[in-house]
Amino acid sequence: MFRYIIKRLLLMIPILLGVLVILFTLSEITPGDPVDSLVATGATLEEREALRETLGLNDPVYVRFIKYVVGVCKGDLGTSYKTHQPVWSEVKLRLPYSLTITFSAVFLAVLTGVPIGILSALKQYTWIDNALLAICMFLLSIPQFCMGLFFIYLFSVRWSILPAFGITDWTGFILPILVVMLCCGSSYARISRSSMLEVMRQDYVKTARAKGQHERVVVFRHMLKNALIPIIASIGNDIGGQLGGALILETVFGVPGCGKYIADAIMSRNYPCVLGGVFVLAFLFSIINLIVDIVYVIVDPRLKTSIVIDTMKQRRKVGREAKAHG
Amino acid sequence: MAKLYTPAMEKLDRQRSKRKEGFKADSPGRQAWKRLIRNRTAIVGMIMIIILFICALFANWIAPYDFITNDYTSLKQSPSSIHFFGTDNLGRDIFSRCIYGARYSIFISLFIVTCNIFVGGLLGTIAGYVGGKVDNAIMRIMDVFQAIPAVMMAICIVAILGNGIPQLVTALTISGMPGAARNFRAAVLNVKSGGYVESSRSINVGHAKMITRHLIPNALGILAIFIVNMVAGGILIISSLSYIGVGISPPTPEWGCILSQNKAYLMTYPYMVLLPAACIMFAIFGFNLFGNGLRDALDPRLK
Repeated sequence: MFRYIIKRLLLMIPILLGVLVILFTLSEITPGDPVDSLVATGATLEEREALRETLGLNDPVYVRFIKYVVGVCKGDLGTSYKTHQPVWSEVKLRLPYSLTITFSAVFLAVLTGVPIGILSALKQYTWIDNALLAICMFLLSIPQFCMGLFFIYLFSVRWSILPAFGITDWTGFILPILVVMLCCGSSYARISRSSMLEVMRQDYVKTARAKGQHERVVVFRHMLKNALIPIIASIGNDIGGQLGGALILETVFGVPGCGKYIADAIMSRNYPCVLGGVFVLAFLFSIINLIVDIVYVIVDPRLKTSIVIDTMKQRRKVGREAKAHG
Repeated sequence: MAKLYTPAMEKLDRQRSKRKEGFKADSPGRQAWKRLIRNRTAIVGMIMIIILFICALFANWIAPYDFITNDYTSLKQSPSSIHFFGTDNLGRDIFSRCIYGARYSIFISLFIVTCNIFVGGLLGTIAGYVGGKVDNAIMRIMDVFQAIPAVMMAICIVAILGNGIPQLVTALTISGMPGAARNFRAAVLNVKSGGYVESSRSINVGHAKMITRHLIPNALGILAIFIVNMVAGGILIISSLSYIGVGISPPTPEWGCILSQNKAYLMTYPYMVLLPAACIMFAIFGFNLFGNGLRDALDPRLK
């Protein structure tokens, strides 16, 4: 297990390096000179050149890339062209908003969606199942920004109980969290329903029933534990997708989060902020995926044996080769 | 040697073969089709999709007004029998704009899905078919692309290329590539183990023919659900991006564009926002229903 985690952590390095290569290439091929948006309108050629030199834009691409990667390794994500602040310190201020919304929404979505899915599967083909499925399907068809607009209309315009825009206190978090929760929750309900249905037909469930196990034990011990695996996989994907897609919701609700920050930076050609912001998100995404994979192995011991067997095979292979050479 | 095959036996054989014809089983595709048209949700979804296509194809005839002409005599009118969805701040009929919007959303989404199949799908198919080092290389590159959130990636690319439909298609093709590759690869790996692949290899069928004639047609059955979901996802992401002003620029009557133009009136004239939003939901709901029915039809085990 420990070896597996180490291996996965090492695998993250080439992926993150690849992300940096893609982002750097994208910012390189962007037309337009960042100096244009930084200097005053009447700036002379000398002033422009001096600025280019201080920003390090005159170096060849690969030198800048290596410098950037070295900086990232030291925890320096560059300096914003606009505010002249370190990107990391700016991202750090905005990250809590995005993370609060994403994590609390996904947490609530699991709490509501999974029980609904289980109920739906246990009552398959009854009106409860049909109604729940239809509601989930309907909620899944609403784009998040549309749902946001509907909620703003209902809660802020019609009933004026919640703020429509911006976050001044905790009430500002309610609507964005509610939107993400409904979207994710309905997809969890559907996933858990179909995976429960799959598990229900397995022999071990029949065995558990046959030996007279209490129905509650059958459902939670034998069925749910096995049905959880696809749900965990989709939680990991959702958190990543939400963090990336957050900028749309953050625009709707005026949340000063990470997504909004990156979107603004893209529009104003503030490359260090785009690079730094997207890199932080990709890093978080990789970490979350790693955690999900580890949880996966904990929940499904079958995978653990396969990992162990994998490493054993590797060891045997190395041994064989050593013998052949020696 | 005595004659073994008597006329009586021949007659019996003919009868048997006739009876066999009578019991001929449907092909898997036909069975799935039968299940599909018996599925009520799939039929509802199909009808919704057909309505959307009619709106998209015949927008010129269906829409009562032009989508771009400003009419300053009827500004911000509430929904009525003259203007079904009311008019916006420039006096444009919102119903007509929504009808034309179907054209943009559906056709751009279908185009993106086609591009995704050609780019991501081809990469995934090659990875699954060739296997080994090629598979590893392609999928590791896809891992890198997948580490960047898709929406973020699409916005970055549109920011570089500028606003416009071809640019939007390019951006969404690149950002959708890893997902398509992953799904196609899984489907090809699934199909590859089939007996017919082995038998066609044994009669020396070339690689290109193997992929185009055997693997892709068989994998499409598995991928049909993914493709329908991709169309729904395409409509969703196009409208989301144009809502925040990325991709399609305002005078175009794309649904997301209409929403972003009218969002200032959410407080005072809510119909301007809520009705176009309902159009987006209608489209996505239709494709989702159809996709769900398709899954039940193609994968009866899950139902």
